Amino acid sequence: MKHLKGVNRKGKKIEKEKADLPVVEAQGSIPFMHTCTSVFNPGYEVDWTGSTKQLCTPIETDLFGTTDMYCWWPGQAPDTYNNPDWNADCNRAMKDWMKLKVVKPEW
Amino acid sequence: MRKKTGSCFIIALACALAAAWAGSALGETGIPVTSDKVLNMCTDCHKNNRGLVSRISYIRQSPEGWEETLWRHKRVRGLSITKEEKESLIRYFSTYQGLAPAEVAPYAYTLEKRDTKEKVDNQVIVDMCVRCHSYAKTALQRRTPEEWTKLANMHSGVLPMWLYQLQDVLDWDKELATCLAELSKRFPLETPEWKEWISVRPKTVAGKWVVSGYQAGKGSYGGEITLVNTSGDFYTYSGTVEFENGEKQPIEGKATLYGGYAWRASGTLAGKPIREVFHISMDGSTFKGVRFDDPHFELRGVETRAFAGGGPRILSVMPKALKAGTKGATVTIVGTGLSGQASLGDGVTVKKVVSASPTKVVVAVDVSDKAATGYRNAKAGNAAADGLFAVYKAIDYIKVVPSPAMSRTGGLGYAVKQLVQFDAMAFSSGADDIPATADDIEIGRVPAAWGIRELASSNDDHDAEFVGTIDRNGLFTPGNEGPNPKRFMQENNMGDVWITANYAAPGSGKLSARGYLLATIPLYIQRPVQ
Repeated sequence: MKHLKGVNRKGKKIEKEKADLPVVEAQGSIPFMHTCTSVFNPGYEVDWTGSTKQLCTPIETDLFGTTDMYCWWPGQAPDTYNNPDWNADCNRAMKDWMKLKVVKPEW
Repeated sequence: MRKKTGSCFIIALACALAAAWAGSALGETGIPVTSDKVLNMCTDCHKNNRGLVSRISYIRQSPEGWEETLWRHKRVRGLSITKEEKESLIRYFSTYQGLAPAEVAPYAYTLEKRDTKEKVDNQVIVDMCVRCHSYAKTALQRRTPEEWTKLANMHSGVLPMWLYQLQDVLDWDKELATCLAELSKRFPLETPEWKEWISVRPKTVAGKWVVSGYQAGKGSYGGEITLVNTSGDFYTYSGTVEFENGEKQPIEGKATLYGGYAWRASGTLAGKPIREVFHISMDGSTFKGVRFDDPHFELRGVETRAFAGGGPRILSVMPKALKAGTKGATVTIVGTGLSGQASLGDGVTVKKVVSASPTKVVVAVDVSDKAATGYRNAKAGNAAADGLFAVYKAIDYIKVVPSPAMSRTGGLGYAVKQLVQFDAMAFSSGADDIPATADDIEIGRVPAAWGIRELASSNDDHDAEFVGTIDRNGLFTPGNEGPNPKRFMQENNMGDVWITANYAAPGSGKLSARGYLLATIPLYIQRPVQ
């Protein structure tokens, strides 16, 4: 930011925030927290700027497209190959999202 | 005659094959499975080569790692075993094919479910493993080079998207080979730490243990618990936790001690369900880990437990700092082998010993107006410790802790909300009067007025209105999951905001601080090792 100056409303707001925002390093480098994926295009819970604004909105519109057997975030959302029942009761994520299960070990 | 020749040939061939088979078994690096029960359960599918069982004998993992392996077998391979059988398998593997305490210690945060920003010093491992998993998940495994390769092959088979996620990697084969070589070098099957651990196991002593910890939102605490070894690896425990504000809470539960040092317990604290993840030091004298609310793992006490019959040792001093000029303050020293002969360094006068036992000494003290700022050597009988107690002149600044922090939405469907307990931690600038230097003194949590403020990551997103609420004690509760019709494009109740704290410090005026909070979406898969 040393050689850049905010010209629009957002740029001026960001200048006012000064320097104590967390820094997310280059793509694929270090995740925000250790439970987050570092795949940032798009990320699951955090985007490459360390924010949520470049994630799918709302996330339910993208959830099935990226969690089927070609799961984009297999550490964070279940793939349907290894977890065939996780969305069995949920035909449309935008409508039935409350029926999405949380997959965890059960015996 | 022809018949006899044929028999000899078959016998000779069988002997040759047996010799070759035995030779390969003896020449391989692997850990033989010695339990008939485990062999019976696993070798219907896994090849048993005189105790060296395919895949299994070439892996070491934490108890949670073995649970994840069995869970995957249940989901994908149709493994059908009872909960008791699963537990007995995990206990066997954790004992004979577990990780040594020194191997677990640097990565225990993921088993303790503590959100941590990791540092990984190898970009190839980041590219191959950390795009989905934590580095800790990788680092809590030990495998032979061949076994690391098989793990990679398994990922390619069951998660083919892996190849696309590495779209920016120019030479996939080369990158994978480099990664596997690095993993084999960093995390081999046999290590000196492991050999030491299997030859001399930590000896955990049943009896009375002293507790010392810190819980965000409540402060420091001490206490005592009594462990009873019910049989083998199983324990029950009960006792009392005493917070620095004087509140006492009963604690009790049941535990399994995996591999002689990995303590996993479930029980209650003041009647509410808790779980515990602790690891015991090689000398068997100290537990380190966390006790957390179930299912809110984010509400936790970070704790040390020391065997009450141990030598002189101070675990903590409460409060950990007093202001110069304080009169009649009560100070509690928690530890083992203590006595009432207490001192807290220059400028601090012990006026009265309120109570004294080998595990807790309570004294009333006066702090001189002219006492120098800085840490003191605290003593209670033969026990002494530096860096646990300080004197300060004034509260110079406060910090919002933790920052950065992360919450997750939930509450309507199956996902449980992930809360954040913030503390406003007071600091003195130390003897040099310059904030944020090495001699600064952490005084402890102070009561602050909390707020949520907009952060300029996007115009007019109004995150602060939707991400959640924060109560008077700094507990942030995120919003519900799912699309929110009140937001532009039905955005979820997620966003990034400032958490602000304001505190009117006596003699220092109004102090303010802010911390970064990422309020995000639920995890829909919760692995034993995340």
